[in-house]
Amino acid sequence: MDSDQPAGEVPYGTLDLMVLKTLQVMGALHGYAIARRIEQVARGSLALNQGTIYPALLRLEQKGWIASKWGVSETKRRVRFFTITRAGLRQLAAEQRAWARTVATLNRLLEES
Amino acid sequence: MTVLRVLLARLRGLVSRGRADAALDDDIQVHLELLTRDYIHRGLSSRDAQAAARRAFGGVDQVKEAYRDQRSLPAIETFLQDLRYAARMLRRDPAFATVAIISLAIGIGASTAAFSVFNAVMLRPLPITDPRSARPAPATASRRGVHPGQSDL
Repeated sequence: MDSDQPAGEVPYGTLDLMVLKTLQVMGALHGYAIARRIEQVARGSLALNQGTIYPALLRLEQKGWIASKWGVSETKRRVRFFTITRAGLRQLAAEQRAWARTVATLNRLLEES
Repeated sequence: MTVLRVLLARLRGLVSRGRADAALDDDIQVHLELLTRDYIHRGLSSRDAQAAARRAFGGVDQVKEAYRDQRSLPAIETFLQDLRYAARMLRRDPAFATVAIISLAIGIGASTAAFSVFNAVMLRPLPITDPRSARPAPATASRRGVHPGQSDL
């Protein structure tokens, strides 16, 4: 309910990329597992509102970059498992390149004295 | 291509609203359960664990709302809602609905009729090549005009 986010909030537009990468590395996962994996990799440097992952998953599915299938959770309930599609893999590669370029540019700028 | 695909997906979302909402409810339910289980493993009481799970998840209602906006076309969805609401209100009060429909019908019919007359009389030019040279016909000409070629007796 707390509207003003602490520092380390998810940079705008990067959640989709994180989700795609997670699915590429881990295979089929449900929303909770994706959120936990992202938090583990971030080692506490991200304040992820885990719920925001669901609109992101829907967005990615609408774009055809991930697919979903019903499965059963560890608590024996039905839940959707998400996998990355071939189009998603292509998109991930392109976004990774773009991200690396952006970071390199920014670093060069910041290191100028 | 992606734009088109998203548009199609959203159109589908417009049709299958209920199913998508149910799927999200299932996902959120499981998510909260698993989070709670995690916090219990870390030594919280089950009540504290539930509260902590809700905090980590963020606002359930905000997520549902963001999801709904993303799922289909919100503008069209709102419009359909308004239409359904209007239909419901009309059905609830048939007398009022009848009066409203009849007044609309009379209003539209009257203005259409008035305009038709005005259009025929004032606005449209006569269907001849040079309307300015037209003169009122003498009384005898009409008889002759009706039967051209007949000898004048």
